Amino acid sequence: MSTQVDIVLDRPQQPSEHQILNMGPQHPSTHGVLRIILELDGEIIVKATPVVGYLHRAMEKIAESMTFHQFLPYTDRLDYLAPLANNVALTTAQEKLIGVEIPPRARAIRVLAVELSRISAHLLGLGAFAMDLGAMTVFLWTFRERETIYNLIEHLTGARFTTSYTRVGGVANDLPEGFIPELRAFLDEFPARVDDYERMLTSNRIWVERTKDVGVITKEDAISYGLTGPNLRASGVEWDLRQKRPYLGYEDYDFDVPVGSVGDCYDRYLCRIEELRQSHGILLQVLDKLPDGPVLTPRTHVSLPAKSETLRGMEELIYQFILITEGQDAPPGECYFAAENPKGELGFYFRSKGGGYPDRMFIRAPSFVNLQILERILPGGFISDVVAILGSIDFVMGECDR
Amino acid sequence: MSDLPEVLVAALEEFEGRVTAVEDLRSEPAFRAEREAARDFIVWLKEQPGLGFSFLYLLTALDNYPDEPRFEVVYGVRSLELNLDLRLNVPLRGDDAVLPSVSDHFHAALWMEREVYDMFGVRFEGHPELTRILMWEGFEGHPLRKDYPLLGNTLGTAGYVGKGGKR
Repeated sequence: MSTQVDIVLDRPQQPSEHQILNMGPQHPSTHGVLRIILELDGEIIVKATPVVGYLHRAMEKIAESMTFHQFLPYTDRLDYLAPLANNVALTTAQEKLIGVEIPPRARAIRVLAVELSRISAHLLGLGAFAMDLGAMTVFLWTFRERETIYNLIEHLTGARFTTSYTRVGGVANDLPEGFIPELRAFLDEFPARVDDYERMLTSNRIWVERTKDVGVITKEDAISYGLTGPNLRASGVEWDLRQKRPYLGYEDYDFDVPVGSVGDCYDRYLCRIEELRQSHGILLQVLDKLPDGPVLTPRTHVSLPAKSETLRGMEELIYQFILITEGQDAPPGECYFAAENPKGELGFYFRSKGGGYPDRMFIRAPSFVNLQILERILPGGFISDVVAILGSIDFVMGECDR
Repeated sequence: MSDLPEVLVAALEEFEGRVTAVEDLRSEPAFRAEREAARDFIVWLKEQPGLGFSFLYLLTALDNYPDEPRFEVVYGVRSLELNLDLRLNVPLRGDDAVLPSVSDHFHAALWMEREVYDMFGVRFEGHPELTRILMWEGFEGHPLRKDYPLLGNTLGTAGYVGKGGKR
């Protein structure tokens, strides 16, 4: 038996000197223009200060001088990985302010659009997360599926990214011919694709080591820091606006809300994977139950008349002119509506003084609120963990900086 | 107000006179409070057992320029247990736009209060680091105020052209 010997390093004690490392705004793993000032003690992070605002475009100021429809294209540029979901959130909020009910078919099409963009946004988040940790293949695979989704979205709206698909009172056009079979073909093969991603990652030892017990967010912190979306649910809080406050008829669809237990990067990854499957299930149900009927409410003071009608009818021409120049007349008052977007709760708060322009519009951007948690969870970890944590939080700077 | 849960109605009597319920466009619970009562009310809602309004989902401001009180700070708190949102508007005079910070109880307010300060110039007392967040350090003015000019460049902004230059 050898005796334990205390090894004393014969080195004079140096006062620890912290090093400042500037990460971003052009770092590849910051997914945009996030900058983090890291204070380091060797490889351990002592303090982290996120700096945001590099992509600020004054959207809320712009909204004050625009009618409700005019602002719609700006939402394509909020969370630019899920423009359709932003379109739907904005228009549904405007409809709540103005007081409009939309036809059942329009609601189903909106759900379809939102879930499609949720899959596409989660696929990008997942692929980029995996690539940041060295798993290049998953990135290529998720982008293959995203390409199919973007072809579908192009078929549906005419654009791949800048969709601007919704209108106050419904959606711009009905599902085009051939869209449903195309979507069904994608949905048929999608579950097998998700299994492929899982085979690459879920029990991959490197992946588990890099993500498990890294960046743990406790339940209390998640609530206090206002996290929403998969980040909140991974910390064990069962909160999904689609389930808690059903909008657009989400109460008619059967889906589960995945909830994590630890709140580490691995849980956030698992939550997103499961949400992919749930969105797939919702899409199938939408296709099965798709009601017939118009896709735009026929109320003349709210929704634009069909273009062909304005060329023939005097009244339609007048209504189109009024709606384009003056906008929909909103009652004075305040209202807040939030939708469960891929990144979390995207809320729009309106204060109207009457007329077609909002007096103030506030965008509650989930990425902006979610990013605050970095100040809390980065200290104490290694530099290499920063990449994993950023990937798992899955933010978009276009939405954060507005 | 009849659709509020009983526990909340009883609780509101505690703040009788300092917090008043107001009519909301879509009949959601909305309140108006004086500056002195705002922080107490929100923190109290959070800590009262059976209520648990611990989630701050909204913090922003409105500008009523040129009317007084000029600003209104809008808080939105949510109870995850009751699945209920409350909105609270706090009017502030333009020459005295100061409010106690709630960031020690709601960490989500750390950045949201900085944003309100950046965009409206409303100050939050007790905030650990009340600096600009979306605009850069050294920027002058508060862009979301109604009297902020919509045209022209100020010194130091991108695209600024000095004397004699074309705009």
